[in-house]
Parts: sequence; C-alpha cells; structure tokens
Amino acid sequence: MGTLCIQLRSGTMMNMDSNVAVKLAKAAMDKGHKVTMFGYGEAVTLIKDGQDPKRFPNVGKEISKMTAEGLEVVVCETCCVARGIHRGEEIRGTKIGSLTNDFSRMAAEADRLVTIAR
Amino acid sequence: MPSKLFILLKSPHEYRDLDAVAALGGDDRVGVLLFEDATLFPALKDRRDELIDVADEIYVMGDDLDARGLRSKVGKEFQVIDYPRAVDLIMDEFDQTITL
Amino acid sequence: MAESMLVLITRPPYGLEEAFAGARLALGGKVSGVMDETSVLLIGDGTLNALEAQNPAAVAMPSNLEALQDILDLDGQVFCVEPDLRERVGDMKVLDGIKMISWDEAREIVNAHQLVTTF
Repeated sequence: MGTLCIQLRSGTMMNMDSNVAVKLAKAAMDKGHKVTMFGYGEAVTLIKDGQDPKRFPNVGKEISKMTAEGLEVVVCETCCVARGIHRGEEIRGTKIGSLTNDFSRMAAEADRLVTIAR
Repeated sequence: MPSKLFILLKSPHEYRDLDAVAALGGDDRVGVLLFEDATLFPALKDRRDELIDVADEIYVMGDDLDARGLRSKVGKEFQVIDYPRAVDLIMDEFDQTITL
Repeated sequence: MAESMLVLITRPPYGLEEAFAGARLALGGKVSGVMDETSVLLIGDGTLNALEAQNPAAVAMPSNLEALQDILDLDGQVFCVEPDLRERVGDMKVLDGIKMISWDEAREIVNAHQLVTTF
C-alpha cells in the first residue's frame, strides 16, 4: 500500500473541490492507503470547527470522522492568520501547521501527490 | 518515460488549454481523469474531439456525470469510473498526476 | 517516498493568488531540505511571472518576482517555457537566473520529477 498526499486549495463552500478531496481520501483509505491532506489558501476552511451547511455535505464532519480513522489533515498557518482563523478553532485531530515543515514532509513521504484546485 | 494522469476539474468552456496536456504528455502514456464540471467534455462535440486527440485514455467520474444528467452523452472513448477505480489509477496505474 | 517535486505555475501574476502561492510552496520545499529537488516550471500565462519589468507596488501586492528570486538564491531551479512567453509578450527581458526552455525540455523536466503540483 502507498501514501497519497492531497493538496487542496479551494474553500469548503467555494465549489465541490473539497467534496472531491474527501471522497478521494476516503476511497484511498478504504483500500488501505495512508492519506495526508494539506489545505492551502482558501482551503484552510477545511479544518474550521462548527461548519454547518444546511443543504450541502458537511465537509467538516467528514474530516472529523476521517481523522479519527487515520487521515492526517494540516492547513497552512499563514493562510489561516490571513483569514482570521486561529489555533483553538480547528476540528479536533486536525492541525494548523506549516507549509515548510508539514507540507514538505507530507510530499516527501508521498508516493503520489494530487492537487485539487481551480 | 513516466505515464501521466492529467486531472481536469473545470468546464470545457473555462479550461481551453488542452495544448498543455499534449505538450506535457508528448509520446508518453497520457490518461485524463475528468471530475466535476470537466465531465461536460463528452457532451460538447468540438471539445470532446480535442480531448480524444490528446489523450490515450479518458476516465470520467460517474457521480459527477450522473449529477449533471450527462451519462447518455458518453461515447466509447470514455470510461465511466467510481472513486475506488480513480484511486487505483492514481496510486498504481500511472506514475504521475498533473492537475490542469 | 518522493525525492523531487515540480511546482508547475500556469497562472499569471497578481490577478490571482496562485502564482505567488506556488512560488512560496517551492521556497518552503527548498528551505525544508526534506526533498533533494524542488523546482519551478512556468508555462502558459504562468510564464508572465518571469518578466523583469513587474511592478507589484502599483497594486500594493507582494512581488512574484522576489518570490522566484528567493528560490534562485537557494540554488533552486526556475524554468520558463520560452515559446509561451514570446507568444504573449514578444522579446521582453526576464529575471536573471531563470532558464528559458523549449517544450521538449519542459517535458524532460516534468519526467525528471516524481511529484507535480499545479498552481
């Protein structure tokens, strides 16, 4: 089994990109692959606790469930600060981290990298 | 020469640069995987033909296709797939993925 | 495990955050040192990021040119597909250190990297 790193750059309510990322991650985990996900730019909304879309899939809830099953989710701190998202506001099991340390490590550990962005 | 799986997410009206797929793919094995609005490619004759010209294999996500009511527009050049199959393409069957 | 990553920049400077974000990601890769090689390839409208005449102060934005210079300063490689740039702006000067290449060379560079991420 391999390691898949997904780099997501769209916000959770911008389009369906985050839904695609979550579905791809889930399918890969179901097959026994290790999956890591890095949220960059608008995709930092991925880890914001308290997401409650009324008519759309709740990406936050999916992320919460999947981190408990082994998905590693990290988002860019600089991008969070730019958008007023601070430590303590993230979904339990996710991390506000660093492009240099976390994404570089995730990419280095990956067998495949998929970019989900517009 | 590594095989390449190009991932397209944008509608054919928004994404008009299939030349880049051809240029980056060259003579290597080129797969194209269509997600979201890119599943409109099979429905638009000119763009469909352009895509067929640059790709050796074309995969379309079935859920995105069904959501848009376009399954009947898919010809034999397109393979309709699900997420587990997409994972196999990405992890095992192609060497690189390039999102355009 | 991956030892090399190519950051493919397809978007022009300043209208979108993408090109700057891609350059910063490549810089992060170089700084971290966890991969042997992190390079940048400019194609399509992304080639406009190489132009020396950029003046981002005019729109109060951070400089994409400086972001690319930072990568070059760390001995990173920045490649630009010359026909794409010339088709767009003709014979304008690019930042020193950026390597102008053909599409055949671009394909070889893509093939030489294990991972590709696009901006």
